[in-house]
Amino acid sequence: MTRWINVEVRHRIVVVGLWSAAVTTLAVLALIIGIVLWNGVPMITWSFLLEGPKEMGRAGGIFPTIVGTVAVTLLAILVATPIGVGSAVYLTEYTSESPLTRVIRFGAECLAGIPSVIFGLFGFIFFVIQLKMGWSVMSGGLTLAVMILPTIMRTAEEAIKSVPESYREAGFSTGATRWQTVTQVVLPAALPGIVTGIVLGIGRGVGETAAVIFTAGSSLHVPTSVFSPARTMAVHFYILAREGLSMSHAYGTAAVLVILILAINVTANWLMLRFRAKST
Amino acid sequence: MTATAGDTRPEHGSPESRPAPVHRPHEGPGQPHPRSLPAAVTTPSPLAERGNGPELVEGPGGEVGTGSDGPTDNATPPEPHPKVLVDRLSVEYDGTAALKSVTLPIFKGEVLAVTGPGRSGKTTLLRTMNRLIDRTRGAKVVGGTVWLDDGDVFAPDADPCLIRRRIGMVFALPTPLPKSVYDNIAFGPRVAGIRDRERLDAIVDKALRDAFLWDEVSARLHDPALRLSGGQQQRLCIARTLAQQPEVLLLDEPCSGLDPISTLKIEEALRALKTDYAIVLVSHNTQQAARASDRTAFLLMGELVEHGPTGEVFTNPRDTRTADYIEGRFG
Amino acid sequence: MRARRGEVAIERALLLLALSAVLMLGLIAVFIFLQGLPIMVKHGPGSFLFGTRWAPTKGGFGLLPMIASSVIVTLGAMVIAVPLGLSCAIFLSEIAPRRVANFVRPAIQLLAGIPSVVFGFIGILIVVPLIRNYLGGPGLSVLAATIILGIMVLPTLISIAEDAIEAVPRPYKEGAMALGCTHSQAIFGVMLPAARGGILAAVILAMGRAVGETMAVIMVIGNAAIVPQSPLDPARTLTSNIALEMGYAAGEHQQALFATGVVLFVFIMLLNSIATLRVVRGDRR
Repeated sequence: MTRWINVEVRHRIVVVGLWSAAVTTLAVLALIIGIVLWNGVPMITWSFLLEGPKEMGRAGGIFPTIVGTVAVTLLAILVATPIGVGSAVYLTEYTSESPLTRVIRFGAECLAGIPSVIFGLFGFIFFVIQLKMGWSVMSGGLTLAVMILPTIMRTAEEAIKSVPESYREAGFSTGATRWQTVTQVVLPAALPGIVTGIVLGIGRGVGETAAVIFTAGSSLHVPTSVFSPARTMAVHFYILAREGLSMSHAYGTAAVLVILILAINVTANWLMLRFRAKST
Repeated sequence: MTATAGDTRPEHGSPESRPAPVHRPHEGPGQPHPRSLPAAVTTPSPLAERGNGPELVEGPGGEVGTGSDGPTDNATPPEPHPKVLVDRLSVEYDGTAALKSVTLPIFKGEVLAVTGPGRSGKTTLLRTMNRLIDRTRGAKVVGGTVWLDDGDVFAPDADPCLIRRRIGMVFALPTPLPKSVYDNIAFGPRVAGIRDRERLDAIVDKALRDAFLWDEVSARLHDPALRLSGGQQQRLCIARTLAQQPEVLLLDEPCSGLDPISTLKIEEALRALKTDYAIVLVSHNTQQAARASDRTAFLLMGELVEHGPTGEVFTNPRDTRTADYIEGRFG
Repeated sequence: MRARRGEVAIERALLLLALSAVLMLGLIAVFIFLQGLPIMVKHGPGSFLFGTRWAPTKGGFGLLPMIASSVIVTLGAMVIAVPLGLSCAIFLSEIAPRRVANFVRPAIQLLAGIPSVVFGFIGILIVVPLIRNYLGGPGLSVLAATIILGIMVLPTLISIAEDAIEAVPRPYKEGAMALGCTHSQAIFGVMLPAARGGILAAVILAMGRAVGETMAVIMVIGNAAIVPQSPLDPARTLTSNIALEMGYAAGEHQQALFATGVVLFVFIMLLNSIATLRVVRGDRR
């Protein structure tokens, strides 16, 4: 009897231990977000968001960095989405498992594991120097595109695979070609999942620093074309924090970043829920 | 997000990996029909050799057995030249035979019921006719072929999309697309390149009326099709198939899972449609086959046991297996 | 036939898109190696991999301190992340009621989404002063990096490990419990061993992430190019080596940074391949 009680007690301890692990993790998250928002939100005023920085960022606002972030991320999404969705369509609709598909997936997995600083190096030597794009939104956006490509490929593939086979059969039996079935039946049905992937890709892009700083540069001017250099919020925040230029402005930038990430995550989760509801 | 069951992979192997049939010119608009029938039709069918009585597989001018004493209305005699001819068709799934040298003509102007217990090859037969079998991994046509108006459906230059447009198919479970009622029905014509709004409206209108669905959905053409009831969805699928203006209609257990009223409505629709189409109705429900068809074919384990006018097959079957199945001794 | 030809063209175009991931991978490898290998060959790979003096403007290309720091920091991060992360994974798949799990999982995803520079910032604000005041040293240290990195790789580890545990067939657990085990005995005795392939893959992938992490590490590790003797010493990882000096490096110095990239790239590829192979072998069970 006592032995049984001991075993039960041990189980209870284990359960408590597991709960505390979860609580600890959540506490850390809360701490991070709490500190950033508590100190940073007061900084977020309209002038902060709409003005340019003064004295290298010690004063003024972060408007050029907001533009920079939007420009670089938008370019990345515009490039990565067709490639990622196209690849996913090819893998699911046009081939069956073969050495070729394994190679493609392996390539995507490896790409996903490459550290951002290597992307920075590559982007620098390839886009900035070799292709002579210089430090620009273009270089940064293209580098970021390569970075988020695996994310979009993966989520698009999952979304497309989840489209019921009956939809495809209905399309084919009406005489549609494979491409017609893909574009008029499969992709519209898979859209929420694909958009989720895009949103996740945006989230990654917004927070990226190492890859962007060596490719888009760190100019504080509002970029006027895709070939202008630009500074993203993440880069700006890094510079402010490292150089110790202004804690308050660093907090403010961080707060904007965190709020953006929060919004992106909430959107992605909401889309996932909607997607699941639709497909059941 | 789990992947659903069912194959999405195309089967690349099937048309090449079986003996080449007699080559026929590619079937397309504006091409003349060859005058002579394929050799298979003019030689007596294997069934005839067994002395099974007057057969339906004869040349032009040959007589077709009348089934007018059957329960179905048979005012228009079916055309003598088969619209679709299944010619010694043998299909295997990963080495297991699903259809064994099946020869079966299908005529415009009549409903042909294909009945038999589960796993007889009924669905395989339909899916081979419109080449949907291409999409099933592991499926291979290992002998014979299917002729559509004397064009070989499996010819190397045959266009599966065109074949599927000419041979429409309705599945056992309703498969509405996640679009509005209108867009579901307009899908086929749009895919064929018709963009003119007026024309599409006319096609949708006619298709819905022919499927006996117009009254119920005319007010909600732009509602999502998924909101319709099961019976309505199935009639929607029939309307969608009609909208692609096919010549042949294949229906695979279309009334399974539907209430009796919807079933009756669908059978009514088929009766009205048969004058303009060649209709194949797969049903393991022998009573439905008896009710709704002019001719019946009995498939058992991949083999075509017999076929003939519905009345005869049901009241005086030639094969004991047919009699056993009809009387419910197995199945 | 016309439609067919268009279809073939579309298929070829899609194949090209699908190959792009592999193409980019190859391109990255080519350019990094093109820039980094020559200098390694010129001065001998030994001087890179085993040299202890990093003074790239004066011909000192020793990466050993950085390699050592990367390894130490990564292993240390695992010491924190594996118990904590595995516990969370078990919690999510076995213990948590559905409502709680549906709250915790998105929260962990949120943790994954926080930019690394923000992690580094928090490190500077909280972890570094704590170390400096209570444990000594400059605060900017291997320990600080270890802690921050441990937290950063948690989401990766948790999600992959959770998948691995979920993938264990129910009958394993139910069979054990039918024999009289408690839930936790079933977990530790049956499910974890059954899931160990996937869990190992989770750990290895998390390690890959840790090795590749740059910004947060730069901000808290102190960036002294020495082999750390104690956790309180400042140090410099391979990634911070690149990121810190890339801004102003030129000529041989820049090439040396690319050489650092080569070492890093090879290391990550090795880790990834092991993880992939492991997952494959695990699946075959």
